[in-house]
Amino acid sequence: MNALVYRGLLLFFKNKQAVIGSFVGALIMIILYVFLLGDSLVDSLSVLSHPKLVVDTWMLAGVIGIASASSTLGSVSLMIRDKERNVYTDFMISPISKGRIMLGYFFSTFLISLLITLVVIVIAEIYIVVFSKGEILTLSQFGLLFIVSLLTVFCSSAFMFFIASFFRRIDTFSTMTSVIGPLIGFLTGCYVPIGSLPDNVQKVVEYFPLTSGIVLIRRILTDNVFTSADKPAVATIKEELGIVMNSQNDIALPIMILLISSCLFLVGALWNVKRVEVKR
Amino acid sequence: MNELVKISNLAKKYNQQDVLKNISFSIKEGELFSILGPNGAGKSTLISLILGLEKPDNGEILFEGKQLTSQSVEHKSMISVVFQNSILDPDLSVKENLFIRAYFYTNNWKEAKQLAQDKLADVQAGHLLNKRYGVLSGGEKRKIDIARALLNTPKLLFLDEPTTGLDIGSRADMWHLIHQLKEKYHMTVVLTTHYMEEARDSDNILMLNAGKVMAYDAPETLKKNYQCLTLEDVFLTIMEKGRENYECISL
Repeated sequence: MNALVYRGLLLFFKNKQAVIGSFVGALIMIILYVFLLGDSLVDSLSVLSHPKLVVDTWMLAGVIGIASASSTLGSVSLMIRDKERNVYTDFMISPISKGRIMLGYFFSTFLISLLITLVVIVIAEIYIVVFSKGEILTLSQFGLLFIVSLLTVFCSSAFMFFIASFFRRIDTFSTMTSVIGPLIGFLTGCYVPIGSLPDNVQKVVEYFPLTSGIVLIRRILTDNVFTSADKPAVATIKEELGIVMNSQNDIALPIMILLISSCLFLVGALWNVKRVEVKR
Repeated sequence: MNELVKISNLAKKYNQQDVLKNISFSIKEGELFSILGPNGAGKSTLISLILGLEKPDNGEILFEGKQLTSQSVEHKSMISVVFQNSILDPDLSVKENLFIRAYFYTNNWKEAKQLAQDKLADVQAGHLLNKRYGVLSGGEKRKIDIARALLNTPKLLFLDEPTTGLDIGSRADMWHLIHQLKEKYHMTVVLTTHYMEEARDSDNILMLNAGKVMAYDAPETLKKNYQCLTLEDVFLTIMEKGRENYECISL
């Protein structure tokens, strides 16, 4: 399995287009806020002392979440490409079990996504401190952010791995990724604040597993930025922006959602790969 | 010679369509064995079954007299394949490609490095170690593909259209190398090819058509039986006129 993980990392980082492509989702979001939505959102949060800082940190938390999801798309496609060009058959006749082959693909996707997400976290924090004049996160906040990002990346990798397990042709998967990339931005309430979405869509967003991770990332990053005497207004804004979901402030539930859904996606993907092979 | 692979009454269906119909034959240790047949004859399915990638609907495959499960280490260490289309990564160097595959067999990077270098030396391609696989010529790529297939020093090596796309010189070099390696490692080589002249050096030839064995014998015996001068003629006679009609079609 180590060799397969190493191969996945080498192939991804040698492909400059794939590396750049994994930042595209995050880039779309930055452009969306810098040129379109940022100012109007700042205006609507005038009740706060530092609305610009709130919007910046909220937006950058979304960028981190989007990066954790979109960075998996490039690397997870390796599995489909390998199936198309007999590479998978070569692995199948090597002394390595099917399960380990699958986990090799999964962990290379996970590590690639984790590295990219960590880079985005560092860039986001520099931006918050230098350009938005926000406070630097404390060590414990950084620790928590790392754990939450780790879980979010794990869940994103498992989710994408599950999606990829249905595909046997790279061109159809590429078409799907061009749809699913932006869709994740909406489904996690990153491109548009959750509060401005219709009620039914809000429900979908709430139950989408990756949202739990992004909500936690938002909560950690915006921990130091809400300064207003109007507590009820702050609570409403936090709900609207998807920093708090269902008026719950605990972190246990979102973490449980992330862990359980990751396991379900991973088991589902492994089962699906096996099912498709048996059918073949 | 002992039987390395014995196949009895092997059958496989896809979507209720017979792809292989109760075929039986054996491959002896150390022989060069060719499987010939037009597209759709069932060659790929037969190879997939021997490789353990698919399960037969009926019949059995014995390796050295034993029925091995496809996931067993014994099965996997016995067989290797040189695929028609390269399966190595064009963006990685020859070294990276071979080290990664060698690790499957060693679980140790140091040993994997040594193993990869040894096999590269076997195919006289040590000088290509640091080159990117994607920039190599067709002949060089084939050499590296063979080095990859040798990593487990297989008893049974499948060559799937090994010289397709190679010029005459590279093709001759390739065959010289394959014969050399076959002797060195006492390998049994199973060849699928569309070039009949490449099958003429085989010890035995299996000709398939529509999932059935149309002929199975040594090349000289086939020519004699079908009263043909060349294997091409034997092939055309079998494929176009059916095995009952022994009248030779000459090219």
